[in-house]
Amino acid sequence: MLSEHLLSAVVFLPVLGGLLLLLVPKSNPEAAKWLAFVVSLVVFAVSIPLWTRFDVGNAGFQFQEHAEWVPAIGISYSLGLDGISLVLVLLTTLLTPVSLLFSVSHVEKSVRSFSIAFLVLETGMLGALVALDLALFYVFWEVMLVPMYFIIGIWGGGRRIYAAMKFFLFTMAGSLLMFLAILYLAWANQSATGAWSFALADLTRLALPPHIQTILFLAFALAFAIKVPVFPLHTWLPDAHTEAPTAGSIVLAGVLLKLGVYGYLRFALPLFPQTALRFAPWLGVLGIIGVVYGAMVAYAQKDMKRLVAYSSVSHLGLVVVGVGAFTATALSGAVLQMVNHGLSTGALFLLVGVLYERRHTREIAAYGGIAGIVPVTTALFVIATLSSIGLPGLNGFVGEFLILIGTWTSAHRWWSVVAATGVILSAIYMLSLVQRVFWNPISHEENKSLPEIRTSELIAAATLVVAMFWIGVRPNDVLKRVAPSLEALRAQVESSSGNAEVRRP
Amino acid sequence: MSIPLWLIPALPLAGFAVCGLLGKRLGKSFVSAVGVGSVGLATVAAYARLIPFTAGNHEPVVERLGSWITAGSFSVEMAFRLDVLSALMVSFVTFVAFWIHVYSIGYMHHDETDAGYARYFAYLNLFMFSMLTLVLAQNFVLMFVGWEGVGLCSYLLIGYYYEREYAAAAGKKAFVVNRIGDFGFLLGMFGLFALFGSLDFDRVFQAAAADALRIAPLLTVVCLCLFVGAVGKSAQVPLYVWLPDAMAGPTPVSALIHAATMVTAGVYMVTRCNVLFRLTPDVMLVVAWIGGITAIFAASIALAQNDIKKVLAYSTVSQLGYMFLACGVGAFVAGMFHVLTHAFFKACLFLGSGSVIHAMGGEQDMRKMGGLKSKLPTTYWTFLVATLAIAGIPPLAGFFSKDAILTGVFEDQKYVLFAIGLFTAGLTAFYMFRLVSLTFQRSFRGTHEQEHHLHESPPSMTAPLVILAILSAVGGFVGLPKLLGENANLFARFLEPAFPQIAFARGAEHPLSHAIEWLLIGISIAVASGGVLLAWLWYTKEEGRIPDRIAQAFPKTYALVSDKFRVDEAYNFLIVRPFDWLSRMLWKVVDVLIIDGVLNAGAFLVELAGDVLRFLQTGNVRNYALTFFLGVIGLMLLVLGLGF
Amino acid sequence: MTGALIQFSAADLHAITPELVLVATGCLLILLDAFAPRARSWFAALALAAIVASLGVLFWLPEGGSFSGHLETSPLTTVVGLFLGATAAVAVLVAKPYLQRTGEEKGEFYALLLWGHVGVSLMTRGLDLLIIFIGLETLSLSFYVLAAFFRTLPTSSEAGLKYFLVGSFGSAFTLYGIVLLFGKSGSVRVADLARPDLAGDPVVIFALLLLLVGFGFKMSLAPFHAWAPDVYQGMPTPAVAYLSVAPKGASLIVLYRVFSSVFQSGLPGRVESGVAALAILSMTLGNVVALAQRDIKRLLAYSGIAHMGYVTIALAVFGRDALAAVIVYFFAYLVSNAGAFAAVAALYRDESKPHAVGLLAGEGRRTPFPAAVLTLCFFSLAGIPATAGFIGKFFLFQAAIARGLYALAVIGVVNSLISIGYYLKVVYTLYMRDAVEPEGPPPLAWAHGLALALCAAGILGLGLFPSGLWEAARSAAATLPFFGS
Repeated sequence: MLSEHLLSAVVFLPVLGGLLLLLVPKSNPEAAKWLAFVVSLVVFAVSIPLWTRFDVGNAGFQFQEHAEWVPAIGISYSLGLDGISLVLVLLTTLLTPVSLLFSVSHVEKSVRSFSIAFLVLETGMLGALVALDLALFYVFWEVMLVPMYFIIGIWGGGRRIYAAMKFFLFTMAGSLLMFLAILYLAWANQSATGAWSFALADLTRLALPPHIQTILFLAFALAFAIKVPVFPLHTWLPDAHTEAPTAGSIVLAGVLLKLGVYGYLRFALPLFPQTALRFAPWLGVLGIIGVVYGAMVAYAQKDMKRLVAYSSVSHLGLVVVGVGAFTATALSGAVLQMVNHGLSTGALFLLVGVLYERRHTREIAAYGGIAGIVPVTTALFVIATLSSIGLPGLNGFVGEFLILIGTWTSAHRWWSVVAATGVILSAIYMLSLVQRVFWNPISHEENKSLPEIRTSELIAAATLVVAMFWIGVRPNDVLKRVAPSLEALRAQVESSSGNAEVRRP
Repeated sequence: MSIPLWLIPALPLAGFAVCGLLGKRLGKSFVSAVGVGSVGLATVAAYARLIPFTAGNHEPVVERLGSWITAGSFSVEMAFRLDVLSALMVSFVTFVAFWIHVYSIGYMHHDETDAGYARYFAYLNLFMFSMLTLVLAQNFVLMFVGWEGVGLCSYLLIGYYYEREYAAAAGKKAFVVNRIGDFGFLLGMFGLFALFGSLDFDRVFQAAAADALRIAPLLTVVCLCLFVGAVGKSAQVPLYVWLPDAMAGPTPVSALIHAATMVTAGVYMVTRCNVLFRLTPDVMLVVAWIGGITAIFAASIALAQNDIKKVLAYSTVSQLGYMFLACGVGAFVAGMFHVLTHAFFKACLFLGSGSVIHAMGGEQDMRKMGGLKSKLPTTYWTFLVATLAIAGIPPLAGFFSKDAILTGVFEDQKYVLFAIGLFTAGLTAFYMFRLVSLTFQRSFRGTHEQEHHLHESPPSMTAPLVILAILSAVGGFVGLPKLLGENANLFARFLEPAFPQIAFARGAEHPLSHAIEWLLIGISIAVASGGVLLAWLWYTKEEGRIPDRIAQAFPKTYALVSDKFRVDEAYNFLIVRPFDWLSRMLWKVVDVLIIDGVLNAGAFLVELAGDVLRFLQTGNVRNYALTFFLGVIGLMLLVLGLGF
Repeated sequence: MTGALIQFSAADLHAITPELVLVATGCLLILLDAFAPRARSWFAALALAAIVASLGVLFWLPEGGSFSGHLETSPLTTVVGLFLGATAAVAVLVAKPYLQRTGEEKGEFYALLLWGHVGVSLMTRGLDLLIIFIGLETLSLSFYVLAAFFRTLPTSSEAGLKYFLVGSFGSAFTLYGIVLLFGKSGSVRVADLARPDLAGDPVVIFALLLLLVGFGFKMSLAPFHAWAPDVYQGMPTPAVAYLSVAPKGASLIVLYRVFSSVFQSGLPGRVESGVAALAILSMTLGNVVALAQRDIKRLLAYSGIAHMGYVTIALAVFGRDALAAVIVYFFAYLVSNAGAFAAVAALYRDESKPHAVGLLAGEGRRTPFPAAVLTLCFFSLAGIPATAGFIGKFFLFQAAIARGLYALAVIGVVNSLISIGYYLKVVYTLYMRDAVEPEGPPPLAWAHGLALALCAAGILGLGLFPSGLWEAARSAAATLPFFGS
């Protein structure tokens, strides 16, 4: 039973757990916290077979499920998993328990609702990652917003309402046009074949006139670009990341942003290959702007979370460069870098959270010299930093290196020259952060009594650190699962567009 | 099957893990045991491989552990390489490092907490892992792992006293400047991959040698990029600025990382890629000139420094310049030879200075020292030997290597560079003996409690000094000049396999006549001893009155030199501040003002429209009827108005 | 012709049993109120029973025309009847506790509600413009009174008066339109309008536009919307829950019925652009002004104006799928909007005071259930997926795109983006601000809770499993003759 509905199980277990939580009396927050954590652990456990049973080397969708949903207009409940979604699904099922474990010791206000919102969010993210029907995808894609809106707005920091609204409106603004584009595709399919369908497989077969393709592509691209976010559509991110509670920031940076790139790879590229390739240069340029711009703005920040948030802009800029370059190597790097960013930035937000929960300020200036007082926190933070600035031996390097070298072998060599400056810039802003927070003389008395990281927090952070080392040393475990799907994607795109832009290195 | 190569770096890595995770709890003696022990074992393991290798036919050994990264057309292996070059590096890196670890026990023991002590040795072990990976790597990517790894450890160890702001800042500076170099290294790797479709040493070098003509122009760019990496790591002009600040770290660290081993990684890398560089004469020229300029520039700064470690730091920069000068003129052997001897005498010098600082209770200003010869005899004599070695006084190690370099430059007919090198040799002799005289000779100029606190260091510290001093003395004999018979230069013969013959690449076309070689030797000896004598005259005999007078005579020039030509200030003004300003502007103007401004304005306008339209809702029925009626008319006009 | 109206058979009576049940119950309630005031607490139950009964009967009616083809019984009338009955049921469920609280539990309320309801269902079933008009007026008269139900409250009586004045103004247009059509076609039967020569006739078009205005008024379609906010504010909330949903749906069905009969070969371009103009104006004005509202009932009034704008797109699209979309949209709108008003009734203590949004602050934690339902309703109204509202918009925009009305679709989604602005304003007031009211609203009556639960269930049910409703709506839409589809 479970085996043939593994994906559905993974996707809907969280929300079922959420319903289960409704049975827990409000008066017993501890139970709610731990139950939620256990549920997320179970989800992780259930998702592991996806990894182990995944048929490496098979480029197609696996664990497929299909059921009619609204047959009259061809909406179907169809799920499937390929290499690209696999790694992101695992990332999601890993980051959720990590975030909940951290929250166990830090969420006081209406705990039960928090846990429920979080589990619903997980279902939304997982669903969006495995949906193969555009209508279904859109449902999950939008449903994600609601719990995240509450997580930011209720459990967030000082300007949380503004941040929550901004987050919601920005993402909505992008998605609505994509919604119309999806409807158009379905209709185009109906007028072409006589049958309604929202299935990705059917819609990729459509032969649309170029100008239509362009418009639809732009609608999709806008939605995904806002999510990533691509410069200059990024300004929702610093506010959302900064105001969200730590757990929210972890998932927001860890998973939600990836859905932008994922959506681009999964939908925009196969649906509109020619246009996508025609616009690839723009994408790449915006990407490198993001790399440099994000890094420089990050350097100017006075708030730890904001700094990390802008570093995300920079890192995802690099990912976008890799997608724009569209060589096999760069694409693998991009997908791997999505995972890496999830781990490193997740860990950074988590550890900033550890400090914040003790001092209730994110001001960099409020810290300094605490390395001697909280050595373990410091060590973890430094490792996360090194992973984020791409130190060889840790995960970040592999992704960065593959993207850059893959881009170098593409038609746009100069992109990787500019993007590689990120190597220098990231060191500048992250190491300044480390110096101003952990090194230097102790400037504030209250920091002298700063408590060290708790066991629960330690376990959460350590999990991520282990993953960083694992990917750093054995990146092929991930790459070999991703590669076939990416190759298939490239083949598909190139075949349907006799475009010389894509050079097979 | 003998010990696998990967074990050599793996041992210190294990040491790092143990010290890092458990060191704090298990106490200093445990940490010393693990920290030093792991490196000791690594040394043993290394020599267990080196001795048979040296005895054998010097055929390169490559041990592959399988694929590390594979994506699309790109693939790189976990593979280690033992050939003459890596053998040479491993031999002295492990050896010197071991003794410096021993020295550290004494140096770090009392003034550090258990946690700090454990941290220190953990970092040191991690460094050993990275350095050995760097030299044993079989491909550029794995080399880069070590390359950045040593950079990391350098960052951590410079900032070891993290609670001191200048130390923390110096660490960051070192990392960032190194990253600028690594940026070049990365681009170089990309270029190589684009050219040869691989980053494996053998594949790249063979391919390069094979179709040299076709790739020459592109290769020039690639080599320049690689050299940028070397410039960063080996502190050459213009990226040398991090090394002097790096002295903020504990002195054994300066000895190990910032003198003996890591900073020579750049030279090693260039030598490793000698096939590529020899194919690109223009780059060779750049290398030579950067080396020469660095040598003389740093030496001249060293003249006017009063901090004992700063003098040694600039001396290191200058000596590294020599090594690149050698590479640049194709005398790679001489370059590596100098790497070796420099490792001995500069390590010895730094450890000696450490022993002095230790005795002086942390004092580093030479003006407050003097007359330590009697109080710290072992330190003095070992220091003196090392100084003579670096000054190039025969028959000490430094003489042979430096002479080999100068001869190489002359052979290559780079006469200007030869002059520079020669002059620098004089400067070197001078500032080193200035240091000796200020520190050990004349009379003590420190405070009283410093004076009666003066004492020779424990054996754990003096023993390494003695050993390194001996090596600085005799280390040169492995590389006697060819004058003393074709086979006199064992070192050159050992390294020969590292420099395959390539078509299109220039060797030394014009071998010099013995007469000229003897002449060159004579000159360099004269210059060196001249420097020594002058320093002794001015500082020991005349008690430094003459230099003071000179300083008074040209105050501006003197200030400029003692302020290190204010290069840091210039960088600060030209790069750092504009960068800060720009980043703030981007944030405040582009992000906040423009992007968010536009969006908020849009939202505001919609809200405003709402507020305005709200007033149409007067609550007065007449107005409702009016709007209603107007609406009807409007509708009618729209639909029927025209045409009917 | 006139004679035909008075002679009817048992079959005809059978056809109008649902209406008869309702009318009878209404009268019974009035009598009980006068002679057995003790039974008041059972009025709601009685009314509800009547509605349920009428709904039950609805499914047993034989299809086809009755009263010699003046009254229709068809899949369309059944589905729409279901929609109307459900709305009435919700209104009654909300009304009971509401009236108890305000101490106004009188028979008239239910009676008027039921009679109005009868009027609405006659509108949808009438195949004869006069029957339609009679239905319209029945509805109007009962709700004029309901608007002024709280005699003591000035806002309430003001609402009544305004509704009456503007309402009669609107009815005049409707009547004039009917007269013109009669003059042109020589008949008041909708079927007789299906003459090729009429479709192009400017006078006919003029008349149809007058109908559009008249029913647009009932739909509170801009620019004929002005009455809605004032009336909603003053009217008892349960009555608003009904008025803001059922008559609007009925009106659009009527328009569809008449237009489809006249424009056999599709909507003429000019008419289409006229309808589109109303849609755009209504969407935009409704949403933009809603942003500026502080009172939640007014906010909902404007949101309603906007929603009528969206659904009018379907009239511009003019086709079978579009009509099906209208039906689905109104079911969604029923659960969302009636649910929203029901929740509002549960969240405010004092009827005499304006329902400022600010007063909801912190209720999310203090009175979780109604707040949660209100939130759900608002997300549904905003068209967030997995809710009924999304399904409504989905089919609506799908139809628009299939017809090639891209501009309307784009304006539509841009508008729903604006609407999120004010819907979320209420949501964050509920959950992200701290309470301002000293104590929360009175405990929730079970009936009221049931109404809320039903709406919530409806929103999620339709949102997740829309297939059945869509099929039903499709077959219902097949009732009307569309040349195009």
